[in-house]
Amino acid sequence: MIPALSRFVLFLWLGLAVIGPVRAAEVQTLTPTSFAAIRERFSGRAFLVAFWSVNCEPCKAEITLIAGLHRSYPDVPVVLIAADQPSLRPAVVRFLGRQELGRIETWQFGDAAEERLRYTVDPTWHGELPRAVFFDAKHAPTAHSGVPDAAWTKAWFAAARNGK
Amino acid sequence: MIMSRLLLLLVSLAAVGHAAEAGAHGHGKMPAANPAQAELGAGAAFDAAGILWVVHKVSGHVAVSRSPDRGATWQNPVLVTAAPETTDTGGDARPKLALGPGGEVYVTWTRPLAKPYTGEIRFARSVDGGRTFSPPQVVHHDRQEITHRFEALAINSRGQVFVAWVDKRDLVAAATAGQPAYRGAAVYFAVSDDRGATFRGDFKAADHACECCRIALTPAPDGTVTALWRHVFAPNVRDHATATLRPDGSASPVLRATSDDWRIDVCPHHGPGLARDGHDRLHAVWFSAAPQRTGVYYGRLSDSGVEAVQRFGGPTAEHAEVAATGAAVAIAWKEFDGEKTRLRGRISGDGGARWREIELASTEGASDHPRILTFGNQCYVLWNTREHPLRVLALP
Repeated sequence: MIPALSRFVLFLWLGLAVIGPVRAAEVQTLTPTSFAAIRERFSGRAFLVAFWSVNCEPCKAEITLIAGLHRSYPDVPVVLIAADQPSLRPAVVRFLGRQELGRIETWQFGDAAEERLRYTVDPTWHGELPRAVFFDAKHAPTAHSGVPDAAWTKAWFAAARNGK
Repeated sequence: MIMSRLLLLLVSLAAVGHAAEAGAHGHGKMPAANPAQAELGAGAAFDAAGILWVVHKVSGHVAVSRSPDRGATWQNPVLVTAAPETTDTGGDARPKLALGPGGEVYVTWTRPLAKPYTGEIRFARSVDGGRTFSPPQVVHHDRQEITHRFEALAINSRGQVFVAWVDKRDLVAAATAGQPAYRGAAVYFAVSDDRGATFRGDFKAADHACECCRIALTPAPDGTVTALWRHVFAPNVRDHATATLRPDGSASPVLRATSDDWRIDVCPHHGPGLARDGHDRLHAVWFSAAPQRTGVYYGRLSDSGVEAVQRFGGPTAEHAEVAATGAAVAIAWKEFDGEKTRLRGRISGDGGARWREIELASTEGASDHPRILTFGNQCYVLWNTREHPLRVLALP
């Protein structure tokens, strides 16, 4: 009786450990030096940085589009950054926990000045959301405000996979 | 042995369950881990005696502070909310404060609700000179769990309290009725005739406002209030519109105010500013990221839209606000120069014809949008920064 209960509890415990709310630890905090390190890590490779916010309804469509293309092109690095202040961490984690993000990196603005964090990634960005910056293999940026065009974005992922 | 292992498992299970609960409810009534962090949004006004009143967040509470000496010293804050309360603070959202002719202190803010993108407009008042505040009440009668956000607060020339906000009830109604998608959100407003004890409403001012930008309000001598907001002109042009809100709940037809042709489906997080000078002229500031018209702009506003339009500031200029007194007009905005956030200003002594620009301050840390204020013939900027909280600068 007791061993059976013990096995049941162990099953529950392992199950929760796997599907539990572990995403909080995976959302990294963006500081003024983070993006330089991200860029360094993807040296010679194309990658995509997509900004969103828990307060931005059109951002849902952006994340859905990019997450879908990520499933088709899992080798193209995607960095998803929540432009939300640190106090919104629970809402950010809750939202991300409902998405199928695969290997997409997740970040959130830290407590540095918001305009400084924006500037480190994209000096031409004024904070409107969603915002995506497509970096080619030489890290030349193409920035887009609003939900990116699906066909254009798919073509970009295909080219990025081929090392362009 | 088996019992002790079972006990260990139960303890682990309890810990996991607790973590899950904390994750699921962290956005509700519980204060955030460090509520002071980044909650720099503040609203402010001078009273007739020159005391500066500010609403801001203190340890997670909505609180009101006052300074008798233009920000040199501050008295202890008075808590408006008895308990810490989550308030909408991202983008253009921040609490507002306005003063009534009888010394009333009025405060509004948006409280996010559990569903994403939703909120309710909360209001509290003090009728004892700021010593105590009424329990917060919800301004709107519509109590659906939908968007009621980005509230704006103004007191008209008769002392009536106007609160306007961005409201998605028409979008929800269109979707429920199977109608074509409703463009943007609506602007609704409510009016109090009894110093904020009760509100009449909800009155619709306009369909098709942008969903995520602040609304600018400025009272007129005739008891009406002029509103300026970012609109969504068909199909997706996020330029500005204006209307007159009347105390009886009616509103003038919506007029186009700006024509930059910014066509985009985004949350800009850049609402306009509006001020009326002593000669009843309206001065507007706004942001556009249209391909040929990107930046911060000033224009004089009439029924035919803005005129004498000028762009000001550098490529990173944003979050401008405007105030006017007599023939003087003053604007303040932020610019990030790669190292620091600079607070800059421009002043006109002749109703916006000629301007001079000044550097006001800078900070390396986080900062609120500037609030620009007038007392007598003098203009001031309140700039709430992490480095220098509730900083007040007089414009020369």
